[in-house]
Amino acid sequence: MSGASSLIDMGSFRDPSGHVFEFSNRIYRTINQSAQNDYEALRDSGYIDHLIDDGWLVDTNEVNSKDVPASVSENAIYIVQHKKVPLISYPYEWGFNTLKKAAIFHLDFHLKLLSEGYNLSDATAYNVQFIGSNPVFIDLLSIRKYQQGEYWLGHRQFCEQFLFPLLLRSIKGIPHNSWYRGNLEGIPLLEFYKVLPKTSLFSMNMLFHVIMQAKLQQKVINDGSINGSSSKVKEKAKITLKPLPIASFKQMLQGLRKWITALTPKDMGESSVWKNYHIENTYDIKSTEVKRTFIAEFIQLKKPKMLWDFGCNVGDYSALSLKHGADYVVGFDIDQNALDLANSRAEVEKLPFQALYFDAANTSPSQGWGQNERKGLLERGNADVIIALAFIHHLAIGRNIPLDKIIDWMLSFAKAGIIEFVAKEDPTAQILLQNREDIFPDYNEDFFVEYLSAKAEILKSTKIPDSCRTIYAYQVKN
Amino acid sequence: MKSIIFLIIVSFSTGAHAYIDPGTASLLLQGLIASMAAAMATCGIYFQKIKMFFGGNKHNVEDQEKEQ
Repeated sequence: MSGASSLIDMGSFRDPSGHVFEFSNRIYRTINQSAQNDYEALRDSGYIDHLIDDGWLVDTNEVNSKDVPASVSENAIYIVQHKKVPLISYPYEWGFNTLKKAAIFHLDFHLKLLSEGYNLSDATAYNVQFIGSNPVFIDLLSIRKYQQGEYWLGHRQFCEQFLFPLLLRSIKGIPHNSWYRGNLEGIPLLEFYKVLPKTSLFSMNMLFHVIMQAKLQQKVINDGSINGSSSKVKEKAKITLKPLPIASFKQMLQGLRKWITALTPKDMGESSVWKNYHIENTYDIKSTEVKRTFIAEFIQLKKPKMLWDFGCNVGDYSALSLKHGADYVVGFDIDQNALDLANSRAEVEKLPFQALYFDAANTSPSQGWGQNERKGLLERGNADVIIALAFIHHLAIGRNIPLDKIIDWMLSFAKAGIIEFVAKEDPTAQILLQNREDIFPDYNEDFFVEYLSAKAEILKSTKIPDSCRTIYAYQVKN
Repeated sequence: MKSIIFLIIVSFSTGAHAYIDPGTASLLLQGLIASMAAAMATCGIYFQKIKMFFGGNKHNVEDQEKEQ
């Protein structure tokens, strides 16, 4: 049994209708008896294939239960295999535009399903994943037949997992990531309600989706307090409601779609859209050329299937790597504006590239139920090649992480890579040092080379002209 | 004795949030929309009846009533 449970992806354990597990580097989903009828109806009508062909649903095909270990398939009526997305990412790792895109995708998908006689049983943001800049829905078992007059059961979930995090940045200029990562289910209604400005009363959308919902929630909590009378509790718990016409259901979704489409980060606005940003860049052309040639040659040599770009900024070197033979790139950056620009670039230039938010000194941990529901970055995947350009001095000087620890950490993600060493004399390092004591005697190039050489083979290095930077390519020794 | 302790605990509980389905408010809110939709449909029939009273087309009203 322990073998079986270790195969199960903990993110899907709550669903009684089936669960997801990984086996031999493939993703499978079991379909249990409770979901059998819904699944058969979806499959036999050809609707699953239609959703896959139109790019809404992740590639899915039914497999023989003999193909997977008996321990995981014992209660399953059917087993399906899903195409693996390049890297599972969580909404607290998305920038504003990525979360917004996922929200609009979710609403569009739901509207499409309703028009064709289906419905979604929930509205969790974790069911949307990205392949490059394209969102895809991964949870087949959330799709159900629509019953006339039924309510949108995922409304509160949609608000907390999509709407409130977007509004937080849009109204207050506060990125959603830390709050979301802390709570995992998004930003709770009653907490978000407390940060709303008074002017929110004048917005019908705010009034309906936030203020009225919060007031009602407060009232339900106050009225529903247990006071010793179980019959009273029972009476309160039972609500009889009129059927919701499908037109009103759709109107709710369309209204939210219109509202969310118009949202922009308060601190950024339209500048988050990719518009030939690289032309405005002020890098010295000659030194950039040296760096670009170095990276291009290394990528051509390694041809990585998966490349991670730490400190990707707007994705200049990610795009370069893709051009020279990398199959897929995930960029990571702490700068929200750079993330949105990088993702917008991936969309405009149709690149197999996605940029995620990360604080290198505090990457996503394994957390949630049993500390295993949402996985940490290291537990979710790794790369064939990693590039870290103008990156490590931020960690060493900006965050006091010892240089040897940074190198060990980088090597834990990929066996090969490129690191740019930025000396203390470099103007950007000087900015980091200007208001503090230099307590970093080990932060020097000799120590860097000595430590890296002990762990890996340095394949090549080049000094960047007119700078205090050197770029190193390495391969971990086997 | 146990029941006394139970009563004390229960009577001192203020808001037992854990017992509340967090989606209830959302359902109540949608119930409001459903009621409004129903009310508007009813109003529509009456509006048609008024129109008919002032010389509108009787046929339309009967169609509408059948649809309901």
